[in-house]
Amino acid sequence: MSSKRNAITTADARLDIPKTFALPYATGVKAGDFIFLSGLIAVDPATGERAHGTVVSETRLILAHMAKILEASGSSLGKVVKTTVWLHSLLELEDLNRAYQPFFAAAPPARTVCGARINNGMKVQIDCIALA
Amino acid sequence: MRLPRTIHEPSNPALNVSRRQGRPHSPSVRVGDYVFVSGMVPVSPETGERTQGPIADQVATVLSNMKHLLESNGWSLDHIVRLNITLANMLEADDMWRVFRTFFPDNPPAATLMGMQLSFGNLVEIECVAYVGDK
Repeated sequence: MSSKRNAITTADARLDIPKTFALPYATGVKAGDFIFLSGLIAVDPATGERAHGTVVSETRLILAHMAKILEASGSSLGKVVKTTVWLHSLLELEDLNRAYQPFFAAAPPARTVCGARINNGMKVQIDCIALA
Repeated sequence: MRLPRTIHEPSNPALNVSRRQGRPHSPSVRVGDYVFVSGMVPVSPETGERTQGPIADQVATVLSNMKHLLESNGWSLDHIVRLNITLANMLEADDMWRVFRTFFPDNPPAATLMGMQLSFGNLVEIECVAYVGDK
């Protein structure tokens, strides 16, 4: 039996992270009134390759990418209800906040930040749940 | 309006870690069309004890226990929309994905991987959200 999961992806196939890196999960799934996005890492919008940088640069790339994925599915950053941020070092929390805040200027969503290991030397990973 | 919150447990009592170990959480909670499953660690369905083999075995144990929990309540792995996977050691990510792939061979759910300390020497913990509205 094949699953009825309603997978969502990026408009630009190169920016589909699990596809680019041959990982066995979906960029996102729409289920009922919500969209669940997998954790995003910073990728170069031109090539889809990992864009290692600072916490600030990675956060900006991730959230711009998140906006595009959501908009392609009829949602938007304004409809995000919760994010989880994994940060390579909580010493850089203020840098995260500085880069993050402008994307959610009004009525920001709920958020959890964890200090954690992120694969392949990335500094930031962010997932979200948004209203579809 | 208030949606009822219902608790859903595995039919195998050995796998009901929340109850067996007197933890202040439930194996899973349904509200509306969504089921929120607590983080699961590798536990033997025969003994209810932790199984601490190689990462591939631990991932297979967790996902088959997750399958059992969902199927005990009339759902399946196909209802999962997103998982959070925590590894104690990110160097083992490839082995984890190798086993993960066999449980979700086509049209897989969303997933997020992170590396964090886990309790009791477990190498992996997985939680998920399932959507059972279209069942």
